[in-house]
Amino acid sequence: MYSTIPIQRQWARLAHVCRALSSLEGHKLPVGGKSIDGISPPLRISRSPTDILQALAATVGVDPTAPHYKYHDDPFLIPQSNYRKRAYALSAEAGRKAATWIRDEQAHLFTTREWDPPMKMKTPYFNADPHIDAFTPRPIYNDESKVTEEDLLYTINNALIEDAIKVYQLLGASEGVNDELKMSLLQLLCFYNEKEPIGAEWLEERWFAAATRERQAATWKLGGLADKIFASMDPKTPEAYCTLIQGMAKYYQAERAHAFAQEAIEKGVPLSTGVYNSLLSCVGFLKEGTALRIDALKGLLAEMNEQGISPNADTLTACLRSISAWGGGQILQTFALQVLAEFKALNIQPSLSAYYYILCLFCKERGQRIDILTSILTDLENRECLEPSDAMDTHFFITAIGVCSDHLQDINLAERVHALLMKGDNYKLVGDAYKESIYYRHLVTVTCRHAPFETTAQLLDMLIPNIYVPEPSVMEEIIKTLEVAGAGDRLAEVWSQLVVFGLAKRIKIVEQLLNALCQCYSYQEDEIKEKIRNAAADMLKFGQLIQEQNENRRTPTQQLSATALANIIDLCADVNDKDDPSWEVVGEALGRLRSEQAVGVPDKPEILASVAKKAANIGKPGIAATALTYLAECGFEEATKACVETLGVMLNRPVEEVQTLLQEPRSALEASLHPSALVIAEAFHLAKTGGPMDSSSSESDSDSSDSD
Amino acid sequence: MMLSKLRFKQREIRILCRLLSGTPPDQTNDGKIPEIKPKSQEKQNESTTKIQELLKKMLAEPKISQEEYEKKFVVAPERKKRDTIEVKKENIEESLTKAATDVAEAIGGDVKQTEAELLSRVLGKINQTSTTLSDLLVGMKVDRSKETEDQGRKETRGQQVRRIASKSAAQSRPRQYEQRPQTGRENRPEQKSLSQPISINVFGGELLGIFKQGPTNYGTKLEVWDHLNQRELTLATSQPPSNYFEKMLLWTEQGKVWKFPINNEQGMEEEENVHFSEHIFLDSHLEGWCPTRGPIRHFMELVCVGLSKNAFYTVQEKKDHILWYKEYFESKKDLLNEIGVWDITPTENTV
Repeated sequence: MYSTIPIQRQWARLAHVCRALSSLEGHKLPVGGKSIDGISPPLRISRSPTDILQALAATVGVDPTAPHYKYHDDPFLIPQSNYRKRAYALSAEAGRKAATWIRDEQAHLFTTREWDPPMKMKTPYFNADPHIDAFTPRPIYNDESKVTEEDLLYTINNALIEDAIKVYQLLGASEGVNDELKMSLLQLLCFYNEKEPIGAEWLEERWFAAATRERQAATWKLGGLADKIFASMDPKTPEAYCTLIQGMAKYYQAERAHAFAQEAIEKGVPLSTGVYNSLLSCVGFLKEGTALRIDALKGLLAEMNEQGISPNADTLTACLRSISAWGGGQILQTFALQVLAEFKALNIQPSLSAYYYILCLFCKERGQRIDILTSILTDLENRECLEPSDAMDTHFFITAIGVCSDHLQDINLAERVHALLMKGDNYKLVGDAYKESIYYRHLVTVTCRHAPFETTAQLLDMLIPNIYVPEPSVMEEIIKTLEVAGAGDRLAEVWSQLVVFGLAKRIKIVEQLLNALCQCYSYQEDEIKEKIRNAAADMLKFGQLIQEQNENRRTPTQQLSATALANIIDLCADVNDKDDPSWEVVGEALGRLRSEQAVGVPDKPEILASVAKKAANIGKPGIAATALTYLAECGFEEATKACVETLGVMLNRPVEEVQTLLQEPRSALEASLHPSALVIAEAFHLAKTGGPMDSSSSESDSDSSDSD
Repeated sequence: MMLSKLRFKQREIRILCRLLSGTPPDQTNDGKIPEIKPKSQEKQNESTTKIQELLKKMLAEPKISQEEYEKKFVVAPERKKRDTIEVKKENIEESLTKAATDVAEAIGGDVKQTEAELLSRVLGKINQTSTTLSDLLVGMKVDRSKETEDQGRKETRGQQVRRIASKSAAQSRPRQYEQRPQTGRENRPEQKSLSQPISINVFGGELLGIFKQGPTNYGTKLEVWDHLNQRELTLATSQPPSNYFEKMLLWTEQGKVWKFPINNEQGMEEEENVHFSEHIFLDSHLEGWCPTRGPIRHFMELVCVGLSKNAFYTVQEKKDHILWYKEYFESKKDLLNEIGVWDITPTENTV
């Protein structure tokens, strides 16, 4: 047997020695610094779990040509329009949500790993080793569940308001919970005003959530659980007072908050900076009129000083928030500057949200143009990094770029703002998807309007389509810029972008684009001209496609206007080859004009006249005939002259001869003329007299042109 | 009545002017009030006297006959914009008015009064809007006569178009200069501000002088509140991860993946300060209660070997496991003694 007494006795000693050795080992681990003599290994640098990951993530730059990482890396699944971006990202998250739902609903299926020893089953939901909180099902509390104070602590730490209230009641309300926990619960209830916040784990949902502005009204729940808990606390601690006052002030129950603050001061309860900050931000609800409000604010600051409580950056933000909410005007503006100077003297830097309120106060939509942004930017650029300190900080950048775009119309400032946003880690301050798109809307607009074309083109190439997809109004701005710059190839590309972004159904933009294409068509190179022609032909086809798709629906589709169709005809008719497919497009567009599938009449009928002449010249008499008939039917003055000239081209005779020819009766012409020429002759008479050539039966115009 | 109407118009124009000039309303409140008030008052007086003069003139000598007025009334420029249905109505009204005028003239006396009365009666029968219509008729006279005062003679269509065109062209220019030329001096700085914004330094204000630098004291601290504040802040500034490393970062923070540096004892914090020897050398826990030899000793040693190889139990659990056997055997003490496997003293070493 191996069990002998001496060895037995040694076990404990051996274990002791081993333990001692291990503790020695632990101490030997060097921490921090470099190798001392070059031979011994450098000392260990202790790093946090995410340090290495952060270093690695910093090596991956932003690639504007690639879609965002969250999208599937598959060409068919790359979203190109705003709608799809949103839909794809949210669908991915919906999958994650569904999985979580099943895990929570069927919690009994996920209690253990198969290879865990059976004894481990003693803890519920033990599903892995190490134990991962994020993967455990969320406990469900109902009237039957047995709860402990630990459950209450768990719900408070995870900000689960409804569960916390339930557990609190199950524990026997105010009698069954100790004071410390009660205090924590009170803080939780006051912070969220007893309303469940959005879960923390759904990033995409937060990112795409429509921005809803907080209503500035007294939403504090009077006589709610928070009030009850406060009432039930017997020695009312300073914490309790501070919490309740902050909660009330946060939800605009201004008068009661100030009354409580007065009560606390009279009782000699020490208040805090947080309390004064919240009181400052709702001081305007107590008084009416600028002067009284300013006095109240000053009084509150003086009181704060009297109580020996020091202000911090949030105090400044709270003051400015109040001031900016009171409207505008010289008095408030000077007061705001005074407050800023006061805090500057105390070495307190204004946060981004403070600057946001300053911009709101100074840069009103109508009113004097005030350039306060330059000095703000100078201050921000000198800072090492912009640490967010308030959720309102995310409003700064969109407001600043909006001021650059609308208020100051200054491209240099806009570039500085953008550079600041791109610096370091600052991009997280852009907020959410909604704010991001507003930001880029302003940036693109101001760049299009005021920057040199090269810069604009560069910016557009970088942003579109992966970072930003322009909205219709921005698209119009872009088209305008491209037209002014005469960038024909880019304009031709804009059409395909419109289709991809889902904007091609917007007739207004398409017409604007067609106009722009026509404007700069004449001086483009041949290659680009062809591209433009193809784009124009595609617009026509796309319109038909949409119409066919929508035939079953009741809502009528918008149609291209006659001017737009004339523009398409103008562009597509610029080919000298008779067999070019462009002529088919021209014929189709003319057909739509004649069958009245277009709104209004063309702005420039001379386009059609010249196209008719060209068609006749090239050997497309049918097209020429349709164009001229349309002109005559619409009653344009150009029709008669164009008819004569076109006939001259077709019959290869001088104008005078054609005119004499046209005087002849229809029957005589019928025999001698080509059917298309006959149609033109009829159009001539229609334009001249307002009626058909003869009262005798004339065959349908369209028939004859089709037979060509 | 007409006078008050016109005065009201004046006020409207002034409001318009203020809106157009782009001054924030508060600006006029501080300091500039004494300048503006007398001027506008003056202006108002001036315009009212003008209107009164016009009215007097109009009342004194109607330059055109009633018939002529009717014709003009029908072709008045603002009427043209209305729908065709209304035009028809106007035709009815026209014939009615004509008839009414004839009757009124035949009766004599206060021609206009009679006409208005007649019309209000007749139109009241035809449609419900009678009173407003007749009011309109009466009101229109002032406008029309004013126009004739201004224009002097009838103008051709071409002239009309040209006039309207030039008017709209002039209006597209900054309007405030036309409408109140006398306030030109006031407007000058604003005009400057349109071309060049006023530059303001953020820290250029005077001190309020409320706070003095002293020892910092932020007062009562609220831990849960601060924690929740921080939570909201991180959520407000968090974005979906933009590459795999950021995703790993997020997962690490959520505690879903192994932390760096990799250590296969992660999540076993309970056992962190327990040495491996305590897991393996469990025989010491047999001392004091277990027989030194015999089948029970043999069994317990095997239990210790098994436990020493178990990687899932904590030391405490292993100890508890052994103690469970101790209690079990002790409860069966009588039986074991009977068999003679329990009470084997350590001194019986040699057996």
